Amino acid sequence: MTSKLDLRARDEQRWSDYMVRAQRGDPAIYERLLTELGDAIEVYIRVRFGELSVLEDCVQECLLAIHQARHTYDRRRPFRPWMFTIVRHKTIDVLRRGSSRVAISDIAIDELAGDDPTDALLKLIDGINILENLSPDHREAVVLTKYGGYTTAEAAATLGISESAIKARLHRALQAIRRQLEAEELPA
Amino acid sequence: MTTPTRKSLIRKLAADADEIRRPARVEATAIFWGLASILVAGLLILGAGPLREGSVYLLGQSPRYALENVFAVLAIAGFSLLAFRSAVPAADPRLRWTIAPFVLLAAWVAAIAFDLVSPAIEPSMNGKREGCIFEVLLYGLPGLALGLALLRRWWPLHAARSGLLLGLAAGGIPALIMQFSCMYLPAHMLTHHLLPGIALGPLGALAGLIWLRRK
Repeated sequence: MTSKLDLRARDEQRWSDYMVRAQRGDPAIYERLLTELGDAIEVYIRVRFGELSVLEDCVQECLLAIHQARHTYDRRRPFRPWMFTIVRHKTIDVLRRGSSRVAISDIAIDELAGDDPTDALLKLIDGINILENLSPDHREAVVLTKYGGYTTAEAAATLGISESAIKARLHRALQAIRRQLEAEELPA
Repeated sequence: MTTPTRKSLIRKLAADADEIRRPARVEATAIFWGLASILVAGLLILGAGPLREGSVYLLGQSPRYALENVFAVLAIAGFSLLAFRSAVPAADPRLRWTIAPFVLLAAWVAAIAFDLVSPAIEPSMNGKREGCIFEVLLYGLPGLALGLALLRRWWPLHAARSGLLLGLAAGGIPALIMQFSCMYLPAHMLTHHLLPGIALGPLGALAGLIWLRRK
């Protein structure tokens, strides 16, 4: 049976080869590479952030960033860390830019309708491990604005704090998420 | 699963993918930048006046004098390498290599500070220049501008950090050359050569924030 590490090593080699050929101007290989990367990025974001409504935006922004940065790939260096550095950066960028909401079914919304909105959202994002290491204040700020679709003003009103306070919490929370992502060991 | 919009984006990007003629080469670019900056700063400094008499010869006579200049060369090389590596995703070295140029810079400053109590070579007013402080600041700017232009073509993820590292390297070059041109007085060297050289660091960080930040 092929192990996860073998698969990653194979991806690493194949993607590196594809990128080198793409740098030489092979559009067919480049299209194949971006398609594979798109799927890998989608899994990466979904595993860490759950079903965000901006997931597809994130994936496409990451692909665009990889395209714009493709001349910085040096085949003497591993491909996956290069790619995931760009992905991490773009994902945080997309999250920082605006509000988002968790993609949930109408049934789930009905089931949660009776609960306190913050508690309901916390239930929905239960298991999203990137949020588990945040402090309760930071988690609330992220959950309301990035998973609940609240504006900062609405989130501030819900939590009974000022808008600048929620903005500061969000900023620090996203920095903490960035640090967490950077600390993850990516398979080379 | 690949959505139709993603598929369409990928097709457009693939169609737009011209051959990359010059993929980023960190070490080669850092060497090119270093040589170009040394050439420009060197020509400008020498254009304004000659080297201090015996300043190069004494490198072979006083190990401490040689060592303080070795610290400077290594710090500048380290900062320039770090600056260019910082503009390539995942090319940052391990933490100890990131700290090394700062330690070398501190060693350079400390060595000259120690010269205040026990000079490595005989202090001398030879080579005195009016306005060397401004020369260091001014002659570091072409290197900083060239470096920023090179970094901008790549993918700097931390604009201020890249600018700071580049600024310290760019400022270090004229500061070092001035050590061989202007008078050898430790207090003067600290305030008129090293300080303006180091000041290019924050200036570089500011310039980086303005020019290197990705939209």
